[in-house]
Amino acid sequence: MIGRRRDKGAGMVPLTERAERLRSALDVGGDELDPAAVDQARGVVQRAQERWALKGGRTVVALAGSTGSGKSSLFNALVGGDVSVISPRRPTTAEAGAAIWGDEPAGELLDWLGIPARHQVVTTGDHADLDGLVLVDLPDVDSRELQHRVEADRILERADVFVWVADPQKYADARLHDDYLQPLRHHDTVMLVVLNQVDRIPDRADVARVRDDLRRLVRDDGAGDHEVIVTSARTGEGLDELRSRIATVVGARNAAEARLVADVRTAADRVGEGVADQTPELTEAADGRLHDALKQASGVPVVLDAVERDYLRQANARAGWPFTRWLGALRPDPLKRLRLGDDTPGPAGIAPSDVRAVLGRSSLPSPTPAARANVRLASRRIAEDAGEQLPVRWQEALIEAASPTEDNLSDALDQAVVGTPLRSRAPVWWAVLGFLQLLLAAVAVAGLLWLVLVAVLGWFAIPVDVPFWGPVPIPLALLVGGLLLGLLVAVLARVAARVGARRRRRQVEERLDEAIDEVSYQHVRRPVTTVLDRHEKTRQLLERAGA
Amino acid sequence: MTDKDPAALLAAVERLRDSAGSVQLPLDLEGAEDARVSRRQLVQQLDDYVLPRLRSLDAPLLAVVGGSTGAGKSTLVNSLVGEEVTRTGVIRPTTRASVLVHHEQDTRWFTDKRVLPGLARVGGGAVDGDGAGADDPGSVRLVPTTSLPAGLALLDAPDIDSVVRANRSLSRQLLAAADLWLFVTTAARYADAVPWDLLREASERGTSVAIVLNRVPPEALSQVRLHLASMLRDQGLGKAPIFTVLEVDLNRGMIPVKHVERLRSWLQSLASDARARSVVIRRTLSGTLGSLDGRALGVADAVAGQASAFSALAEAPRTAYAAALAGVSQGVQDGSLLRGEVLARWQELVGTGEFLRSVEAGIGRLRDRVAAYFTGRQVSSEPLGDAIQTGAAALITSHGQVAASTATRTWKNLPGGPDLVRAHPGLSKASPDLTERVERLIRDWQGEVLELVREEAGSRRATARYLAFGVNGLAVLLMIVVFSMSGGLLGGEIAIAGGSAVLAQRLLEAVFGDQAVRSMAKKARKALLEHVEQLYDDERARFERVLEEVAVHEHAPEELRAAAAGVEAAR
Repeated sequence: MIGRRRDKGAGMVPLTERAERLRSALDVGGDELDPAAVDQARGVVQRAQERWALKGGRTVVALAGSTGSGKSSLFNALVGGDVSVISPRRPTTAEAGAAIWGDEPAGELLDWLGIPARHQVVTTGDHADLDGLVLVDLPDVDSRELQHRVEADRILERADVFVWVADPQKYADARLHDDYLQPLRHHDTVMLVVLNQVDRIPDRADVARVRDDLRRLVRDDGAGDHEVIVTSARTGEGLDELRSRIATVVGARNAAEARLVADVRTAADRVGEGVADQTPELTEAADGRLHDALKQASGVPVVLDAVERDYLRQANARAGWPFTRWLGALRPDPLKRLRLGDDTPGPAGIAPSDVRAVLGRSSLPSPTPAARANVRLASRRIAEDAGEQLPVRWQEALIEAASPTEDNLSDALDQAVVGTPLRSRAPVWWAVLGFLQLLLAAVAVAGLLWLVLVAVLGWFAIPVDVPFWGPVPIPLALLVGGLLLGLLVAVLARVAARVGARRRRRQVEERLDEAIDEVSYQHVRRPVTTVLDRHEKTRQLLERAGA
Repeated sequence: MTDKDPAALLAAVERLRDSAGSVQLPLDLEGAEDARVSRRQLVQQLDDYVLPRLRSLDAPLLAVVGGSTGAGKSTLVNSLVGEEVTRTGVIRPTTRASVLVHHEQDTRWFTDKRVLPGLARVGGGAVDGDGAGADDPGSVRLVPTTSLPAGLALLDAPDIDSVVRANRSLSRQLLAAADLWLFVTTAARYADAVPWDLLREASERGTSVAIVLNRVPPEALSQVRLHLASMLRDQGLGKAPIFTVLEVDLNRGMIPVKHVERLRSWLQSLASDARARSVVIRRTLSGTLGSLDGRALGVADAVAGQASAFSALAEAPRTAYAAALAGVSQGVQDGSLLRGEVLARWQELVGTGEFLRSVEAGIGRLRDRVAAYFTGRQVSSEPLGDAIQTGAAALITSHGQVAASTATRTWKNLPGGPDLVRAHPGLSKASPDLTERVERLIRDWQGEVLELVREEAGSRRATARYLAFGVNGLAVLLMIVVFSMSGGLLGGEIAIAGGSAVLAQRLLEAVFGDQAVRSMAKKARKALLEHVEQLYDDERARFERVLEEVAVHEHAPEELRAAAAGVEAAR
């Protein structure tokens, strides 16, 4: 393969790989690419495969140009016989005709090209260098007969090499330059530019001027800088040069691949207009906003308040002053009210909260409209921020991906909260202080009973000897001391419970944050990232297809 | 056209000119560019040709020499005049500006801006290389000569089909201003698509055309001529005279006189025969007048398309902000604002709803006292008021932001919309001071609610319950009632939000009475929604301002159609 021999430059990546990449890019990009460009690119891939299946050693060279520029005359001159009809009547050539050099069978290739008119050139000595050439004489690209143009366009899509034939009268026609040469961005290795009929310019200096002007126009079209071959079919001027240039291209035997590669690159460029140069990443700031919004919407603040109150309540129940502990029992269990509490495993070792995590929903108040709107806004903002630099179709895909259905999302959020354990092991100090409180209460009660006993005995005038600690009688000391110390410990316990409640709140908040982060990942960030990944993959494939 | 009143016709055409001149096609819809071009061409032809020709039917006949690049138009003009008045050459396109050759006596017709008012006049006789203005497409060079007969002027136009776009549009403008097309083509050219598109147009309009078949190789003459004649016949131009000029060696850049003699004498006779000239002029004018209606209607259709696209664009922000207002209105009504923090604060204020219902009021108060003793906190209505404010503000703000984003998104998917969004990148986000304004709005509204309570209280100010809550407390209660008025609560929510609302309502009713509470709540809610509507209107105005730049007048297409019908009736 020639392409392998030239291991530098544009032809480095083989055609099949490029076509494959382009095809994958179209598949990955899907609806987010311009449909017209995709259709065209699919056509290119298809043609590349078809042509590749027929590759052989043949090179199809098409003579294309305006009406009356002398394509058929050139064709006949190259063939060496009157094969194409030449006539002053315009447009002359209605159907393409082909001339074949060499022995390699070309039937299948010509069938694919759709050219029934074939002429086998008898190879003599001076024709040997064109061995392998299939020369096609095309109808005009600018004639008034629409089907001529359609036929020319059809074969131009499939030919390997273009020879653009211009003449002094028409070389600056908009049709040739705007419609045919401008789209040829990467085809400079597979095209030749010919200025025919130079015998019509009387002044030789003018020939050079026209030639340079044509070269400039082609360069301005973006079709590459080509040395214009000056010919005259009538006088035979320049025909040898044209023949040898064609022979060089045919001899290299890589024109088919070069042309298809150029097509693939052009198609990749065009499809590539539908992707951005860079794939953006999700920003932290937008992510944080979404997280906050989801947190609000899932009622986390309510849950956290309940957790804090629950801790205080339990601390009070376990380590509070025994004489007022009962008051707390009058208040409802804040977690139970949200149907979140009660993690004590039953006989089978399954806690009710586990059952609810599978089956039930919490009875957290459903999010306020403001919270819902904030979630919508935050997730949309994520998509908008990410898509700012992307083409509109990708922006839409991102917004679509970042818009979870409201039911799914609120369900997932609820599950996240339900599935998060809100209680932990009861701290040791509850038990210690609780025991201490009971002890102190017992002391106080003992003191009280003692005092009562002393009073009763005194009432019955039974002398009792009350022991003293210093000036204070021991029972009184026990009663007052027990009560005072109990209150003191209760105050301390309350302070400790406040601190503990806050810590518990932080712990639970962390757990809930994790759970919500997972929801935001599953329902918003992952779909968005998927779209961004698709964009990146499409971009890379297109870049590599067009490299 | 001759039997009708010329003054009425002129007035009708002038009206069409004004109407077509004033319509706008600002939106980038599909086909808008074509419509802009045809509108421009219509206006240009009215200015360049129809109006001046109607005003002075006896002005000299203007023959425009047009055709493909490289057809030899300039060479032909030079040869007809007999001197080099316009540049010739082998580099295509050669001619980029136009040259008007006329008899010295006719100068007055062309020096003022009677015809082709859009082109600057440049004096100067023969061409002098790259003289000033020689290549300026915005100018026309006037060349007085004696070799042309009086009553006929030749205009050398640029090509119709070269790579230079300015040439293509100028030549079309000039051909549209012609009384007679002198259409130059060649043996290599005569089957090209582009010129035939123009010829078909000319044939449809009834423009007077003469064909010059230039650069014919002598051996191909009869064949090509016959073929061209049959093509012209097919196109309905069978009466157009064909003048053939052989491909010959030029004599000092000009075609030898004998080869152009026929064409020259034809022009001479046309110039000298006033009747023949008038026939040519009237034929083209009448054809052009006949075409005005259809072309104006085409433009009117495009304008109508623009108008409907415009109204779709104008509808998008209206829908988005109406949905936002509806969302706020619903959020305000369905009690969902009373969840979360508001609920917590409310319970703080009146004691837990469940507790209050299950235990006697006395114990509740005792419990509150004990709680206050331990927490050291006095229960007040302030945190509840703040919570309501935060909730409502969040509701209004987020709906406002969603509306901006939705409206922008809709625009992106509407014809003509994407360009507007691109040109105004800030649209998709709400205006930066929205949050601030929403907060002010809520504060204003709370002030109004306070005022409402105070007014309504009137004589009841001394009652115990009034004193127990104070005006602030009652205002907060009223807000709670406002936020739950529809009572459309479902299931378990009634127990929480509904319970508090019912309680608040009872408390208020105890102070003001049933009817008064209802009317106050209604007033308060109406006031809130009016404020929000006002705010969203301001937000929407950002979109309206963008739309103003591309405004399409709703009645413009009808006016244009009426003007076109006027011309049709008067011709």
